[in-house]
Amino acid sequence: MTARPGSDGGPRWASFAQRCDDALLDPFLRHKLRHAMDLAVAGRLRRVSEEPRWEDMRDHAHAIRWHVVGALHTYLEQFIERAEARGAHVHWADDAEQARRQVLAIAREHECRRVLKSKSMVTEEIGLRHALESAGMVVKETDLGELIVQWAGEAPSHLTGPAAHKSRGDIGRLIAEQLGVPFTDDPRALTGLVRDHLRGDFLTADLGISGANFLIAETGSVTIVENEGNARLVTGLAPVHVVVAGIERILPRLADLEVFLQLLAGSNAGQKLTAYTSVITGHRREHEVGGPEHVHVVLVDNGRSRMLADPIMRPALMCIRCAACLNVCPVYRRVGGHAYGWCYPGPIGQVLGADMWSEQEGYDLAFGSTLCGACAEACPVRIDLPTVLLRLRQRAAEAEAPGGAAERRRFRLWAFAMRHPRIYRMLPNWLLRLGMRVAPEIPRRVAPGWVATRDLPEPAPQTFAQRWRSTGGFSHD
Amino acid sequence: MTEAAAAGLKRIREALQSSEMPELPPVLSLAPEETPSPQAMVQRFRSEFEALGGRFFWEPGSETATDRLSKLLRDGELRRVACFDVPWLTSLVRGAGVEPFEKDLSVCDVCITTAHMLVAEQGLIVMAASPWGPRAASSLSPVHIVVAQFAQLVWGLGDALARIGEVIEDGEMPSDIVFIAGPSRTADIEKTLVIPAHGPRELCVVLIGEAGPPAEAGAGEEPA
Repeated sequence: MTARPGSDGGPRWASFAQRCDDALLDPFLRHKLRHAMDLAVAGRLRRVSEEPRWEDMRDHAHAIRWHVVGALHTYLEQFIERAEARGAHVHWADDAEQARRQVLAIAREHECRRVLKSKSMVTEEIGLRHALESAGMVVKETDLGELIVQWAGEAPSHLTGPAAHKSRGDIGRLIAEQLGVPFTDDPRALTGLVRDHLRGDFLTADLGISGANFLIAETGSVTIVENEGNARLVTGLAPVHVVVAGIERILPRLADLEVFLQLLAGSNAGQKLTAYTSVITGHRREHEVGGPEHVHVVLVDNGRSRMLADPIMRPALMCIRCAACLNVCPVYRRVGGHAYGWCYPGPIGQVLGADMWSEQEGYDLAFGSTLCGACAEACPVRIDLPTVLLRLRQRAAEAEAPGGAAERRRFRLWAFAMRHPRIYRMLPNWLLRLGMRVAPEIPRRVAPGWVATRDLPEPAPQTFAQRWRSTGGFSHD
Repeated sequence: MTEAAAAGLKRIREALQSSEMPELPPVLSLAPEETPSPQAMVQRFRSEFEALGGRFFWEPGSETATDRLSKLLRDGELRRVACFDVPWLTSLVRGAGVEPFEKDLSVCDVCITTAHMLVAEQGLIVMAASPWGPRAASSLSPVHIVVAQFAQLVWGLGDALARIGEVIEDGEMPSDIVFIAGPSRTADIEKTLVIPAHGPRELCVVLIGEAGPPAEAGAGEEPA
């Protein structure tokens, strides 16, 4: 059983390690993830190899995002001014609770009952769907993957592929049950069923909620990228459109989209661009046909300004949520998104988690990484995620956070042994061999977690150093 | 600006107080050094758009475009035709032997529109909210046919973004601009690509003008 994180987006730290263990015991999960992630990574690599300007684009994107993060107040102010000038109502939420209340108030103000959502991680972060449902509204996800996990009563397990942890069989059974149709596991047929099912909802919804991939300061516009066309319908048909956006998702100029749209689509799964990119500026104007009469933008801080003030965490605000770091992460690829315990999984989720929730517990996540650097290599805006994770670990050790004190003791012992080769050499191997023969239960006592799923082999008769000497050492022959 | 927003901005200013702000880099130009020829632009658009699953037709003038349109409508058995008020386009549609209607996009067989721009490099259709371009045109109808003039074709996404101010009706940002890269798609079930998702099942572009295809390229042949 895969652990299911709290559907309010909140953290369930108590057992990150336990959730990883659970996930690792599920062989199907690993298989499904590997299949999906391999395809995404292969797509990205193909795109990178055919685009000679890719690395220039990454350098440029890094420079722009670092600039924006360092001047965030200027660009936010500009965005708010321009968006309001075009008739959008801009709201500011300090935290998740305020953001939920604001969206709820907007929905009530316009007397909305039937709410449709397009894919948005920040609405997961603030637990918006449940807040609206608790207030008596009918809320439906419209992204295929999101709708699948909504129907399953789960949370998304990937930033861009919410149902990456489910097989076609899982999804087929779920849809058959939800729609009362005969079972099929054919993706084309299943997509068709959901398309038909949602069509009526699109035409009758009275509130559409979306996220934002980029906010454009220059024009006060909101940019939304998607492939399914559901966000077009969510944002274009209902009379009221609410955008929920993290305050860091700003780009200075409309022209910056050329680089960022390509990096986002390419890094995610190798597309040149997603099927639809919408640039939305305010509500419907008089001469236009269709479009909402009211547009609200809820800007969500929820810990971001705190991260901004923290030099270790600030680089994480450059993130554009492409999911490339998840796709390549050897940990994510085995444990899946639910193990991380909140809405942002993978390397970026480990970093964001360190601040956005309880500091002490958040550091727990920072240790669930091999620091192999694959994420930094993939990141389109060049966030040095391994270094950030390493600094967070350092902070944990200094703060005596869980694991910190014990780990420090172990490493002090290790460091002592490493500095005294004689003592180090005395320790293995005959002693260990003898010990394991006389008292084979010792490893289980000393490191029960470690040996529960691993064999501790008996040490070889000779150490490497002994062998080195006996074979005459390094030879050029 | 609300008080909450002002307070939020103040908090951010304080958070950033001690840090240096690096310069904003100029926009990175991805434009090719030489302007591609009209032929090269159309070829690029065709190959990108077809790779995305769209159908592309290049017609030398309105006459052949009318024929193309009537063939598309006939072959697809598309009877209820939605088309919004662009004089040259409506007369083209009427020439193809159909009377277009303007009302309900959710019950039409096909929606015929023009585009504000086509982008060759990525095979994009650019449409802005306008009197003739309802937001749902690109998503609600089962088939979407875009008829565009050669002058509407630009090379790169950067060119399109730079020209938005010129091509929209009154120079102000419309409430919506959409960049369409082929028919809607999803890969949410085991990464299997499915077309369409919620958008039109078929997306066609009929490009008119700048001489049309050279004779040997087979004027407006069906894509293989």
